[in-house]
Amino acid sequence: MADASLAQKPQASRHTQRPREAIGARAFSPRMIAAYVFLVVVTAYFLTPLYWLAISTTKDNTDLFSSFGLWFAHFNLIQNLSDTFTFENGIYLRWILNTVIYAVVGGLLATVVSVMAGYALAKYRFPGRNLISALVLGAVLVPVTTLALPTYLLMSKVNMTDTYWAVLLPSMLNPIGVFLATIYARASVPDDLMDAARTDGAGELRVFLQVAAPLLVPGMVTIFLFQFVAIWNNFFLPLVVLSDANLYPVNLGLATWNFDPASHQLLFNLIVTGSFLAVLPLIVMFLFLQRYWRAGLAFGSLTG
Amino acid sequence: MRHWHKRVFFSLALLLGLTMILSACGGSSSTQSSGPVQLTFWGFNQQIAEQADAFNKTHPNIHVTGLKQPSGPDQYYPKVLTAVKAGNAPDVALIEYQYIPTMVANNALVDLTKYGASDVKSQFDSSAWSQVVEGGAVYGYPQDTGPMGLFYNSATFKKAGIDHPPATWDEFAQDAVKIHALGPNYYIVSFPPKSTGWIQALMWQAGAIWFSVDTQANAWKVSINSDAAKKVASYWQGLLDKGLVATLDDFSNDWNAGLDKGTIASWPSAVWGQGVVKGNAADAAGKWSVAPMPQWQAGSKQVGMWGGSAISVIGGTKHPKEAEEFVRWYLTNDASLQIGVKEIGWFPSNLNARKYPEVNSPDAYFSNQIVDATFTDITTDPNWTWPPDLTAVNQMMGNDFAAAVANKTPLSGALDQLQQQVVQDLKSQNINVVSS
Repeated sequence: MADASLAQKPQASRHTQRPREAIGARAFSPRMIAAYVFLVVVTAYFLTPLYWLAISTTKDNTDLFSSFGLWFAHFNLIQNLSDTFTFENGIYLRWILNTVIYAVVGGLLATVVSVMAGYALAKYRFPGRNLISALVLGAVLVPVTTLALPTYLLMSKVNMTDTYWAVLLPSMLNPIGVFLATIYARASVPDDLMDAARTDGAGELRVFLQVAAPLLVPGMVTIFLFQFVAIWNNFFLPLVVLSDANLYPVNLGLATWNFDPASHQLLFNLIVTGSFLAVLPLIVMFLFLQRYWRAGLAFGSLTG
Repeated sequence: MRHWHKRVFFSLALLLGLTMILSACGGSSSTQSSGPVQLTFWGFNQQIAEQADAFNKTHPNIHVTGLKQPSGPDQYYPKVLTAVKAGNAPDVALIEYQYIPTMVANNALVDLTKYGASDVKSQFDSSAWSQVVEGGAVYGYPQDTGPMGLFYNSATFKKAGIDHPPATWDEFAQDAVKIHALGPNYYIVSFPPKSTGWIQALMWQAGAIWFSVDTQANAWKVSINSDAAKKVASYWQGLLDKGLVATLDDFSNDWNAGLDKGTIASWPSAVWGQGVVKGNAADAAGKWSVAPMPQWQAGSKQVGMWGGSAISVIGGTKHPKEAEEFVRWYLTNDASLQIGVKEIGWFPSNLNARKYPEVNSPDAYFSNQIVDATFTDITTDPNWTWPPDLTAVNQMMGNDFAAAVANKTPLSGALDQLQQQVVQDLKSQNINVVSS
């Protein structure tokens, strides 16, 4: 029991009048224990694949299949890393760079478009507003994959296939982002504040940029995160619109390393190492920005 | 209000300007200057860029750009077909033999007979050449082929008291009993129910021709559940019923582990399988050997093909003549063939390249056997034809066979079911069919 109370934050015990035993007993009630066990199991369930991936980066092709998956065999990490970064003239680094460009630039553009559109829908009354809102909501239901082929045909009409724009332009539009921005702007930008700014002589652009935008920043980060992850994971769009391997994002590039009899190559260890390196930036980003990510999920639960 | 209109007009103008700049950017990268003829070439390997460069050095009037594509059939062929429809397909592309009729059915390939195909025919292996011919038209030149043989773990065979590889399927079935006697985890082979190309190659070997063209009726003839096909099915049914073969998917983790440990004692596979065995079971050097494919009749050399690719000129190209010139060079010139054989690992269709030392030297991993020699001394049934809707056929086939093996229902039933499904699918695409 004494140990248990140590686990409590000092502030908690200082500010409460309850006896120490009571706190300890509460923390270790059967319900709490059950909850802890459940959470530990769920955490293990989600982390095991990642753990497998991390362990597997240290193995060569043979050990990948013949050794126990969740523990080390011959340590081949250094070789795997150097092979991953040098295979096909080091194109892996280029793919990572491309993915970062697509995800960061596409995410930023999508955020700007979403916030401007969402702000307008939330704060201005104009003919057709409800129709546009309904269309945006409807567009949320259209899977991105179904749009890839029409997008490709449009891109090829204007000779833009096989350029960065072919991925960036479609990534700029994100109906969920517009929807979230609408909700967020309605809730967090008071009309009175805008009226006050107008009374002080600010134009509409200035009201948006200097009054509303700062209030919308948490929403922007959430939208950016959503779109960043969506672009990072998008496979089908780049597959269709790109044919130059120098423009591929990393997921598509790794797919070209996958074994297929017709390609005559066996690169499982490079794919595993490459995949592991490719998820690291996402993990880091989540650790730093999880506050906003949670906020975004809460949005969804309130409004969706 | 007027204030508002001005602003809307301004933003629209800005948007329009932006679009024009963007499309100009895109346009400039692909407009062709009046230099050499520009061709693009899609394949599955990085080295195609190297090969294209070698071509460009000796052909000042043509410039070929080799672009490596993801090779998964579910990704690659839809991509090529979409590009053809959109009018910006590559001029030249690698097409696996089995997809040629599917591409032809979509008008995606150029017949090379009028560009001199008959001049190069003699330079290629005849069984490979027969794979690019459909209805008298030549839809590409053959790059490499995938004749079948038997990779087997001689250490496991020896442990079971077997001193030579099975020459016939009867012998193979007898050996299966001996190998399973080593332990409950020991199997002579895995029958991979979802491996469509593998099962089709076994059908091909047995003379069970699934598809053919009835020229009189101008229709596709579908005979998936013929007697010959049922014979193959009942052979494997016997092994499955007695539990003498595993049913692991090929290339799965468990399957790879089985090869490595020697508990899956053999793998009937195409010539390119040597790379898979070596790569996955690197520790088993010296244990693996290669033998000719087991036969239905002792003494014959009949095999089916699993894999292999053609290089084709894609419909819609503005430069079919130059494209054919590149394809011809690509598959007949030493500079290109050497890269293909040495670096990519082709088992070349080009007869000259079959004489390269790489194709004829002993391999230490396989106890100094000359592996490729086993795959040269073979015959294939030239009547085998691939269907015009292979993607659909393979999808249905994988499901039917996987269900039959999982539910322990007869494989012959899966053949009957597939026959019906395929006929229906072809009819639904308005393709003429006669079934037998």
